[in-house]
Amino acid sequence: MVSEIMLVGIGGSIGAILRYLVSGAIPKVNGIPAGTLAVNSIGSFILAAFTFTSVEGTLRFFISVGMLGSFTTFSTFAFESFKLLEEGESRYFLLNIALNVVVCLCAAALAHLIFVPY
Amino acid sequence: MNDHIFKDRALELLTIGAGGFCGAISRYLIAGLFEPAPGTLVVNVLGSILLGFLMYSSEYLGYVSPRMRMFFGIGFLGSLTTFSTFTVQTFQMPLIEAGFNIFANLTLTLAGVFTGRSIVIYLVKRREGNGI
Repeated sequence: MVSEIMLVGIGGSIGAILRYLVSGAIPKVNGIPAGTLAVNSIGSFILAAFTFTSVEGTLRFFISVGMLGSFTTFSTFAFESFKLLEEGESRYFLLNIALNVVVCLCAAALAHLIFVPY
Repeated sequence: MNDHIFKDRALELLTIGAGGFCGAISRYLIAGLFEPAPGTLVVNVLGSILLGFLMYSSEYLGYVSPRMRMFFGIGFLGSLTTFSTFTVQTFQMPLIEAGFNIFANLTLTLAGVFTGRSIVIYLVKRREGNGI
């Protein structure tokens, strides 16, 4: 139990640092916060790949729960979307939400296509 | 000079890493109290309320140090909430349930940011009302 928590924590710190570096390297594209969109879609793809290949035990806590859980973020996504609405950019608000939901689900579908044998 | 910039950068990453460490563990423990999908919803909404409060505090209430924003905003709250788990859980649900899960996460996290902002505005008004 304690070692599980440590694995989640260490994975989480690596995921948070990577998120900061990757999302910080990507500027806004046409008012859309593309950095958050990028980490969310990359993280969703990799988590889906790990989930569909049934990684168990140590690696699951470290990579899936810790690293990938922290690499992606819902709070920043919600805040950035809210901010767009507040600034009167309601079209970008809707576009940002649609892009995050659709691109991330497509990333999961792609991982399913690649990693789950028929 | 370069050495100084490097040290600042390292400290910045260390601050975010420490926040991420605590955020991921909190997510694991809090979400673990619930079924998987509701657990993810709970941490996402909780994190959005707190991030709304933090960000609008620095905007309206005055000074929140950049290091504080890095630790709590980017590190802790960024890691407390998760989009990847939300995506994979939604993907594995039947269609109607998936639609409901997306709707619940979107509306409640946006309402969460709004709530955080409302608390800050209430505090600002109270402070002004007291003439402090």
